[in-house]
Amino acid sequence: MSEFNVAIVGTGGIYRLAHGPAWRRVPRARVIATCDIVAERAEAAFTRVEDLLERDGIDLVDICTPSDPHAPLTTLALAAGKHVICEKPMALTPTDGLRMIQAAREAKRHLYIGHTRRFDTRWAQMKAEIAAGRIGEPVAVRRTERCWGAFPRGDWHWERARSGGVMVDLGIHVADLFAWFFDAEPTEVYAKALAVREEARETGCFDFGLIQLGFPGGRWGSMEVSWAHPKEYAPFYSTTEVIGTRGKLALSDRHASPMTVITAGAIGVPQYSPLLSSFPETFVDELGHFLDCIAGTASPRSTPAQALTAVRAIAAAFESAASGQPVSLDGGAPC
Amino acid sequence: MLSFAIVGYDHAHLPKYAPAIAGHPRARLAAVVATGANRDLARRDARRFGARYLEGLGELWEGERIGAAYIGTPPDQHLAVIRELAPRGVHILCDKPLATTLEEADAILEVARAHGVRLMVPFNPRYQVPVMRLKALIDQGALGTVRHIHATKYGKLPRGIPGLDTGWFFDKARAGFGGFGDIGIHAIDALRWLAGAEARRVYARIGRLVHPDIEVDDLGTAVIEFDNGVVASLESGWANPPGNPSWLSVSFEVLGTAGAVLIEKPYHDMELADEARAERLPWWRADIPGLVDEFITAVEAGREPAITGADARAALEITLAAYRSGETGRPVSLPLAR
Repeated sequence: MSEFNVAIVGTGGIYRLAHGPAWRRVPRARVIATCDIVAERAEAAFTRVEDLLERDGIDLVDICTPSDPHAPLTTLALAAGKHVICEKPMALTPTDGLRMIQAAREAKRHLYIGHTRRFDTRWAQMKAEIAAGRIGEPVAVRRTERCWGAFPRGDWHWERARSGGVMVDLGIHVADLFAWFFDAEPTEVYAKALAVREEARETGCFDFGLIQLGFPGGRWGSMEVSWAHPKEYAPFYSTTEVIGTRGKLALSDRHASPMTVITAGAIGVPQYSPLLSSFPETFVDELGHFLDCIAGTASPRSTPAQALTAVRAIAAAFESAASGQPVSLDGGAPC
Repeated sequence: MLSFAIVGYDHAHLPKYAPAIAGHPRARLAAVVATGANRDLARRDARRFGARYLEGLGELWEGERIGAAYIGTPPDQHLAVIRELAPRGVHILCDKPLATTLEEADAILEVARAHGVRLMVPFNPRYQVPVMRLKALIDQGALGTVRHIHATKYGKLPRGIPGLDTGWFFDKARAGFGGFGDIGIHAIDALRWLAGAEARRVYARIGRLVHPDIEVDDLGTAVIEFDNGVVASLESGWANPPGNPSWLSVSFEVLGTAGAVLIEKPYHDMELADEARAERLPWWRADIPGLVDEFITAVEAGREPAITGADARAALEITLAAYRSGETGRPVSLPLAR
């Protein structure tokens, strides 16, 4: 397959900020149709995904909707014989995630989940340094992803049943990053979740989470994810520190930039992407890589099984936050 | 003038306390009692500051009256030393941890109370300039209601320091615990102080992960819940590699409903690089002189010091609870059962 005809499902935030601009730069790809339940969105030619899937010539469906319909939309598209790229989180429950993997297997079509951290220059280099043994064996990682969740009241992000709140929205990235860095699956999860901002308290959505993932060999990843850091702090800052048996590797967005910008009332480092948590090239690389995988010229740097691992870890984090007890993930992935 | 004795020269930072005591305008360093390791260093510092050098507590009572003592023995000896000093009216500045068990800590508190001597444990972060500023901001309400406090405290492995015997650090019976607690108890005290509340629940993972050739743990992570709703997280241990530009890496990160604070290092410092490595050199360290001054001022004023024996016991209890959680894999409720 030398050219890919792509259809978009969901033309909201992540499409406008990331996937849309990226598809225009991915060689061999052409967005030929879009679908959105909000009819007024000018780009959306379809409002029903069933109608979209009947259109001729679609090779690949890119799902950019809120998180809750990821599983039903993915299974529909796969059943219609399309390859699917689905934004993260893969799903809100492990059952849904597993369903998506099974649907891809049955349809004999490719499925990829957009775990962008694996394609971002910064974390990819950290992974490469670790894999090269530069700090010996990694034994503990702490990562923070902090921002002021700039979603208006009433936005789906504040609905726990639709977004999962910050524990899913940012936590899923960090869970995947830990598994990637350790090259292992987590075995145990402990979490504390808070609703700090009024928007979160009103809806019962968590906007702050501490999640510890235990890995084999007594290793761990500790994450802090937050939508509750004051907006004056930054649009998005992350920090990562990896402790190894022969060294340590650390990166803070605040210090990684060679530039500080000072204006009246604000001081900060430049952000390089409209989607502030990633470099602009990240989505171009990610989407292009998935096309290569479909074409059979590359093997996936991020697999649905890995995405499911992250879903399972975060589902366990909710369980732990509710019970106050650690939750075991022993038994491995169910697929 | 308050006449000080230093009892025990086992701690790596003793060479920083001797000048702080000797240099205080209302104190003098009268004696250095080397009861264990590092006698050469103790003798050198005694000579340097004009203090008597002794090798046993018995001789301490032969010279001028000692009003206060800094105890720098391994923690398993604290109780025995304090039982010698307190009945003679000697006020106690005792290195952390106060003891290796809560029973010993209670006995120390009781001995100090019974003899009416002051007892303080010098937890450095309380007198580190940025942490003091942070505490003031919290107390002024500048951050709104505090919801989360994170602390990272990493040090290098306390081994192979030229001229220092630190073997006891790797003996759990003498030190009480390994790297997580050794370095983490400072941060645990600070978290409790900043939260302004008592811990009620601790969950921790602790292991020997970085240095396979030592006998004790060297790294840990913990979540501590306080009774006013503040949630704290902690990463601590001997995780800094030999090439780290500073011995310590410290961060404090606070999220409140009206603001956030980040502290990314404990001291105001500068960076020096030579052919082999880079080093961060503090140009302002208020902590040790500040701790010594607070202790002396409290003794003179006949009041409780800013960090009390009860505070030190609470920090020990949280630390021990973290170890219990690490061993059982379950959260541990506080207070610990006797």
